[in-house]
Amino acid sequence: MNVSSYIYGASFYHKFDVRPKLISTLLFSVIAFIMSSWTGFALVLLMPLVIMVLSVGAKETWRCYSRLIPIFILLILFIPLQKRSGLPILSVGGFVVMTEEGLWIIMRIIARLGGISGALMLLLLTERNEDIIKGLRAFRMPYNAALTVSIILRFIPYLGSLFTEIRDSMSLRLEEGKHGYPILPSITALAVAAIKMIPDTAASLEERGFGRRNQRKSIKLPYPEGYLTQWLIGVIIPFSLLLVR
Amino acid sequence: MTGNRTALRISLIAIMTAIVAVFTLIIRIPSPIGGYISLCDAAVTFVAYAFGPFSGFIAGGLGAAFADLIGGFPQWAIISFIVHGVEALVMGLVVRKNSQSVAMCILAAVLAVVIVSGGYLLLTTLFGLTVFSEAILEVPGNIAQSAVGAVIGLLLYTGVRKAYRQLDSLRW
Repeated sequence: MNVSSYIYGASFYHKFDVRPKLISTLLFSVIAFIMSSWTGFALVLLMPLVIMVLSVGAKETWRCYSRLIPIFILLILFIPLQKRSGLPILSVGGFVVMTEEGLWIIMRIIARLGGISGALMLLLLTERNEDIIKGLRAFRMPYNAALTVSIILRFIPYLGSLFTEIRDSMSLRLEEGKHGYPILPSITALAVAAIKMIPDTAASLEERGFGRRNQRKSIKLPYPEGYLTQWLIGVIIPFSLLLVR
Repeated sequence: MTGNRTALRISLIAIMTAIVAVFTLIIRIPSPIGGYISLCDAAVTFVAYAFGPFSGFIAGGLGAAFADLIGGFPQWAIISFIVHGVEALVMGLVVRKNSQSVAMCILAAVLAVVIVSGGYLLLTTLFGLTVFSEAILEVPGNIAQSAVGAVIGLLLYTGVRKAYRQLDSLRW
């Protein structure tokens, strides 16, 4: 089980510092909700898509966006049937298939869903998890919260592989000719193993200095070349969408 | 001693969050509107029963959100955090006094079904990520997932409690 979506690369977005990238993602997600023009919808949908293609390639972009296609298809099928009012733009034999209002709602939801998913995936694809945590720490994320997130990210792949081992050993216990594995005993074994790790993990934290007086409370991230420009781009791009709102 | 207790709480929350995320990711049946059906609610129920409402709220909500982020559905992460966090909080509060009472367990399960199906329906529409007519298609799947999850979660809690007697000592 892999917790990191990061794909190694040397694109301009990979070179961006994590701090402006985090703010840019947040601003973009908020501004996506206040767009109310056709141009705005198109930009919200296409901007992260184009940056993703340039950063991680078309294949990976398709992998991310293909998950949204079933939702888009259902929107296209359902909304026109629901929204019957407004100027008809497509009719078959007197039956109005699509109105302008229906198309407007479809585009608004597709832009929002596609844009926000794209912006978040773009962040996860171009930044390592540990760098995202460091970036959040730079924005005053509490030490305990950052520590908890680090432990979560450490344990998800470990528990995932532990489950695979438990599942495989459980399947060996089945009668010959039978396939699969018993779900309840497998997840019970995983839960027991995980709970037994809690006191040990707490002890490890204590051993490593957790709770001591002079523990590290802040983190200093270096300032890369063009840091100010990255901030300007990171903030200006989402705000520029407001010009076509 | 305070540091020790905090270290224990951090470990508990982190490992239980990881358990909720892993349970959500190990079995995933895609649903027609682009989401998926998983064992998430079983893990959320288990955490609420075993560790109470507040640990349940954080671990249940964060675990579901992490699973969405890792599993490629980042757009649902905030909604999942709210829905599954509240689900665990309410279940934990209902069974807080008496987790052995059948009536309380049934009440907790019914509330979990209402919160999950109603929560996703309401929040996805409210956040403008879909329309009501499409969101309603997801309701039967969510009812099935949360109802089955509540039963599996309770069985899991009973099994784990038998296997690991010190379980209650970790509760806070």
